Amino acid sequence: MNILIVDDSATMRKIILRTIRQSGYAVDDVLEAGNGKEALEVVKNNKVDLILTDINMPEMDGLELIEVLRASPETQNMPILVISTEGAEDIIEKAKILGVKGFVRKPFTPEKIGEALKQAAG
Amino acid sequence: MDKQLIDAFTKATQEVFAMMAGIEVGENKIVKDKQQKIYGDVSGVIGFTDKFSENINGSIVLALPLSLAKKAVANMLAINESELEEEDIQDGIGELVNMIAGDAKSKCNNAFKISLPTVITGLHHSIGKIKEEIVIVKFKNNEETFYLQISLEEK
Repeated sequence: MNILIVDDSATMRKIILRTIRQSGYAVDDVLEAGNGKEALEVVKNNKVDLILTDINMPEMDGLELIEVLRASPETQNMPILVISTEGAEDIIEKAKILGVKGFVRKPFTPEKIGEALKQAAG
Repeated sequence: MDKQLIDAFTKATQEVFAMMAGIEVGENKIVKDKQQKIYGDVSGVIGFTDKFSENINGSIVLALPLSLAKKAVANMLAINESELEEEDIQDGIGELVNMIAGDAKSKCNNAFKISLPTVITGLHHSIGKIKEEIVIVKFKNNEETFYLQISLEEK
């Protein structure tokens, strides 16, 4: 399983990765991106099985990233989890319409990430 | 200033420190002395705007002593403080203040929008008061004190 973690905070990317490993989820390769634009480049050049993305990021935010991925035949079914401080219902609703597999609010417990990963895998 | 807003930021600060950095912040009190100047070594700043009317502008400043900033970020990353780089501290405190603002926003039914965070470093810098309405919340973790300054301005 190759995962891509998209967050403008390097600290948060490390925390998410550590939390995934703590939850016992088997990860082969971990790729990182600091915003949606960088994430699209990573997806273009690598095999990615699951994307975990923040919403509020500079240059290209998480919702725009998901929209672009859903518009492309190669990535329209890619599993995506959102991990964000964003709790506004209109944004969560939009993410759901775009077919995200789960939404985890920051701050989070390792259990919350574990549950969301299970949901994404299922 | 609306008590719900102050309570939301206060609770969010305690919860984010506990959940993400394993730091229990037991004591908090509102500093009533308007003349009191506050200082920090590492400060995270984030702005917020009323979601509906955009008539209210505000910001929060999380002002921390360097020792506590290091402890918080090292705990978040599960590494020793000696392994921290300066960028780790800046990025970590930015993320901490981002989570505090995001959590407070949820506690206020998402009534405001938040900006991306900024971090200021410099030993013993003072935090200015340029907005109309200011509330300072003083927190304590063991013997260390840190502050959250909430500023509001109505257009």
